Amino acid sequence: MELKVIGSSSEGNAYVLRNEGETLLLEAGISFKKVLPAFDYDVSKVQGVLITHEHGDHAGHIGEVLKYGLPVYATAGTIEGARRYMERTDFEPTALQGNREQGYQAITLGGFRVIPFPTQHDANEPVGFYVWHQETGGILFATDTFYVKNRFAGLSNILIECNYDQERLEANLIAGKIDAARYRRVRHSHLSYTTCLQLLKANDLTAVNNIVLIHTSRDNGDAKAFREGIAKATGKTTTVAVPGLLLNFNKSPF
Amino acid sequence: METNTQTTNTLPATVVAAKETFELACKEAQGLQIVNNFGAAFTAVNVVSLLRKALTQEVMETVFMPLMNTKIGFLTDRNGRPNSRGEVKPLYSVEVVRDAVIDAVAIGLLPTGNQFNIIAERMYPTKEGYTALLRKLGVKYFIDVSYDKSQTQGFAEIPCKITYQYNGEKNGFSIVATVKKDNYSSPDQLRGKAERRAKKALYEYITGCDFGDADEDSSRIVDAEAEEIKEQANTGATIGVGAQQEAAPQPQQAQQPAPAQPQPAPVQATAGRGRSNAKSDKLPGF
Repeated sequence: MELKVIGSSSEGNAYVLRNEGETLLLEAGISFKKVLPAFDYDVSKVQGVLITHEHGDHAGHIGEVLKYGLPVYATAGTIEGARRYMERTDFEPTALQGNREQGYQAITLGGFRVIPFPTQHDANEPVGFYVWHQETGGILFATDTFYVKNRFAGLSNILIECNYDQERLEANLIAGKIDAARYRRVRHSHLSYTTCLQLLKANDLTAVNNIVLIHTSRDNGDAKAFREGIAKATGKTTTVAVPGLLLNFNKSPF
Repeated sequence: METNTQTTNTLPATVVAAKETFELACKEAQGLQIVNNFGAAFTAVNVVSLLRKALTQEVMETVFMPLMNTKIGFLTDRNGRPNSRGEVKPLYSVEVVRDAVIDAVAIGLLPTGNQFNIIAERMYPTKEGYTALLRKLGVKYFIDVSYDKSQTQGFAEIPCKITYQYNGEKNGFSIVATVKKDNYSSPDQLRGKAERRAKKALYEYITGCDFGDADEDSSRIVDAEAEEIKEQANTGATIGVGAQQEAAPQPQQAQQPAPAQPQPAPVQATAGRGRSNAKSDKLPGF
């Protein structure tokens, strides 16, 4: 199984998990025309498209994806919030069953098993996904959240937001580069380097092959420092997601 | 010195005696190191005892009550003027002022120089008070007070960068001071309040002592995100697919985050594809 990063920023997010027979698309925040090459233009192998929340950089191109007849999964709140991106299609995403308090029902998409979990973001009903596949083992996909409540077992690969550094964010506020509302919003909706590291340390990383840092802020973060810090603290191969990044995402690193 | 003697001489002998006791208490309080001193409680008790002995009814009425609501003394929220609701509340009693003076002196403040205010019957150090407390500790600091970044009407949010040197340690941190504002608040007033917040934060940071704020709701720094992260992050149910399930994964066996009620049947991939993905109330698996 391979991971291909199509986009990983506030300008648009999309990640493709793919082997010879199956593909899973995470997020629809990038024009689907730019995503298609990652499928070799073969959408028949796409088992599903998972959307974390309704913001444009994650769901802005959901309508295009639906037009291709792909099965899209999101929470009911996300679907409601993303209606404006679905005006020109007769297709409808499938609502994930469950709720934030009691948890969500796992779904099976071909060889992928997906367990949604609630995240903390300024959106209707945001979630992250624990994705399991026989080739990849457990994959944690958590983005746009200022913390994650759950812990995760059997992790082999991790795609996790590492958005900002608190000191840099404060410096930007003091320098007037961001206003107080933006400062508050970032802190209340995105994962800081420190909280990201705490999350990683709270989970068993023994079998983890890859930690991929996603959705890093250009202004409030420092991708290089984040990568070095996380790699040093966890002892795991750490990569910063950039468009075009291709990684072996199998549970065995060989 | 001569002036001091002359002034003292105009006071009754009982008050002069109280002055000596009060000065002794102040001296003890100045040397009182609250932090890292296991004997502090004993010294503090001595200070409070001396103050209670010195601050008799006569001393309070002769010396301290006249200082109330003056700039050379201390200010209160009961100054004989009507409040925002047009109510005029009586001035604070001797008992309230005595307790406030004792609280102030015990932490090293003086009842002169506007080092504390009495608000809602409690003593709160002012900006000048925190300046005195930081000086007492020997902290060298620089506070860069920025301007109001808030877009709300009722509150100003003013970033402050604090750099300091204490016991040979150089450090710095930033706060966003949230202070109440109204139509009559000038930028300098707001920045003055923010500076007090910054000094208070620095004092708290160094000593761990929080003497509170008169307006806790508006001016206390509440790092809500940090608190929520601290309390909630990584505390929930564990999600994952167990080793025994890897061999033959069954959707029903996926571990759920604390399911409290029966869950619906798992949704199959076909539920969302092609025609099955069309708007319908009869999607398979629902």
